[in-house]
Amino acid sequence: MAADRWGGLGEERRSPPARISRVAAPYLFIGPALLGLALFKLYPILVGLVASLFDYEAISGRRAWIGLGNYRELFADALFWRACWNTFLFNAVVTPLQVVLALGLAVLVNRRLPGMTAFRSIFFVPAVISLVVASIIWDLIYNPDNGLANSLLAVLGIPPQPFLVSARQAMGAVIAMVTWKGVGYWMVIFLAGLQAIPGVFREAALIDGASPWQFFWRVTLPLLVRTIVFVVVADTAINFLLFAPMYIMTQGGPSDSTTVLMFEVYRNAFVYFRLGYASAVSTVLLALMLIVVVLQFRVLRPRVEY
Amino acid sequence: MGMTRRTFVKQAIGGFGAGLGAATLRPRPLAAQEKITLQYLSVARGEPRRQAILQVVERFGKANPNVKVELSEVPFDQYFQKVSVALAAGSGVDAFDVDSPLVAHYGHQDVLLPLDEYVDKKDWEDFLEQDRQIAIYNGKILTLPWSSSSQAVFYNVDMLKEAGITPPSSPDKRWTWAELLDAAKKLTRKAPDGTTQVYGFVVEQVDRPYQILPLLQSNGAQAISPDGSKTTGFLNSPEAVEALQFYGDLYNKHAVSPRKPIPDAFGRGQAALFLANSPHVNQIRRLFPQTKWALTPHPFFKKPVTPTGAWHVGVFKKTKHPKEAAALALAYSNASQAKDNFKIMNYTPVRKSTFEAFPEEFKQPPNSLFYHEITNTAIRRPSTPAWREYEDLLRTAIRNVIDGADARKELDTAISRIDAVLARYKK
Repeated sequence: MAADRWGGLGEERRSPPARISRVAAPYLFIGPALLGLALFKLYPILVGLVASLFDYEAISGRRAWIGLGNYRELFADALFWRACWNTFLFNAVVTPLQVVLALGLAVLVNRRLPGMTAFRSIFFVPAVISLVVASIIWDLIYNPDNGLANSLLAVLGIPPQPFLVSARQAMGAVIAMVTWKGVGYWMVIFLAGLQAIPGVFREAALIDGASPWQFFWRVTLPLLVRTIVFVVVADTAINFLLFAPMYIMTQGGPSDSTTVLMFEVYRNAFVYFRLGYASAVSTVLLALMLIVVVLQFRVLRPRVEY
Repeated sequence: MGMTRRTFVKQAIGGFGAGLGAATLRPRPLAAQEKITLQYLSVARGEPRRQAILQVVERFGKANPNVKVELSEVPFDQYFQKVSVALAAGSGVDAFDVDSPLVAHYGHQDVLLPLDEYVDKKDWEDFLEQDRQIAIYNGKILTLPWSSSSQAVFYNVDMLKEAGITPPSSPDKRWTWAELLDAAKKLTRKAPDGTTQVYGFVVEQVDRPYQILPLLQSNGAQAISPDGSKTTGFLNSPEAVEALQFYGDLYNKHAVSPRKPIPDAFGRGQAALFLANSPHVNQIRRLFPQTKWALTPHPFFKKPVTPTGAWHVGVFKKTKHPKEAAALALAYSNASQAKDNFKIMNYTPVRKSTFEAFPEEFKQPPNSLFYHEITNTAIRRPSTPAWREYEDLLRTAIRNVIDGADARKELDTAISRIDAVLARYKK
């Protein structure tokens, strides 16, 4: 068997087993990951989808086929629509806020200045605190009668605020806490993205006389789109599924003002043990997430490669 | 004679096989010697109350050396969920604490082992009639009661003396809620920066229907329709709304109670009046011996109504060791242990023999007052399979009213959701 002029073996000259192994190799590499995905993600989704068609009492194990009964009940329930609205509101504010703040911080701490490592660590600290611990601490901070937040407001001459015990302020208070908690993590991802941009672009832009602002808008941002897509999609997925802060700080209240879809899933599955209904809510949640993520992929498709 | 390699291997395998055979043929230890493990799920009650279940486990272990009891103490807030998860999973629990209004719920789910065959008929008669009724579902004994409860207002003697307030000690002269509010206003103390140093009035279970339903009932409302099919017109009656609004005003309009509960506020001197159940007698004595306190009866609107009911013990129907688990349930609730349970925890007894064993206890304060309440003014929570959802939905409404929401709107929301659940159970 002779080598071609590039020193490799021509496709037509390979033996059939070699060709098969060449075709199979990539699947063998991604096989374990696909298997994990199928077992731990796709299979539960399928089970959930089937369960949503049953009236399923988890404690007694009683099951009765009701077709789309759970979905009919769900769409007729005002609390479900309230939870949809809250989920939308929460995500519409938290995700852009986290992405913009994280990107801003990443650009700031990307500068080579003395002591910058310390700032990177400080901003990253909230990310390593457990969400449960953070929620408990912020619950204390927000205490309307003797919390830290009102003490600070008093110093500024602002009257005490109810925060988590007010239906109008609770969602805002939860959003502030979640933003604080998440920004540091995404900042690190952006930092990695920024540092992966080759220095030649900066040099070229400087030679062409671009201002720092122009450089950021015209060069950094377009080259960072892949990182932005990852951060936006991953952050959206996390925020859609977030319910620990609501569970710990507000229990979905006051007056359902912080009840998000995931909290409804939790409440129906693990308080009322109506697994069929909870599965129906989570199926709707999954569908909503899918729509949003597909839209994000379309809008944020990278237009520049390097 | 020389041995080839093949013969050696054959003989070695044969020898090993013979050894293995001998091991498997050896008679197994007697069944009685086999160690059985029972999982008991208990509410984490803290000191000194947890000593009772520790005592039961220790005594049961000594009397049944072949049984090991693994005790899990779960914080109250997570307890019902933990039990439900274990029951749904079908493992991790053999016997467990059952909150008395949940007997019907578990009965409906068919997860409790009927205990009729393990209970001595004569001994069963020793339980008070009302507690026996709660333990029976569809004609079967599903749980064994080991405690009931009653409530009164604990007051800080020094603080009330300083404020010139003399609370009534007799149930015939009990405060109305308006009188309690007046006292609470006088007792609330603010610091110069506007923060509250001492709250006039705090409540043990701020948002639980166990605690708050009696307010509504005292004002003339009912928890549920007599046939248990709906709450509309009962739980959202004008009387119910008025009582719940009054309760919410304590936290908002009058600010005599903290919107976020303060742990041990009464014991630590951060509250002057504390509406709580009888086990707090032992708890305050043990943890805050320096606090001088006394009791005044539960306040009322139109007629006195007080909370009652507490804990039973039940056996999981799918346990692999029904006999042993039932024996453990009996060990926790038998006549002799009931006396120790009372001395350790000061829950209101559920057995006639316990009352008879301590005649003096129930003739003098503090327990004379609790005794009066459970025999005269106590109304137990409704017995419905939907209690788990009922409690959660009403609790949410109460929580929202504490946070400043309108009582009518919250009760209307709660009853529409509760009625939907009741209709589902009726199917």
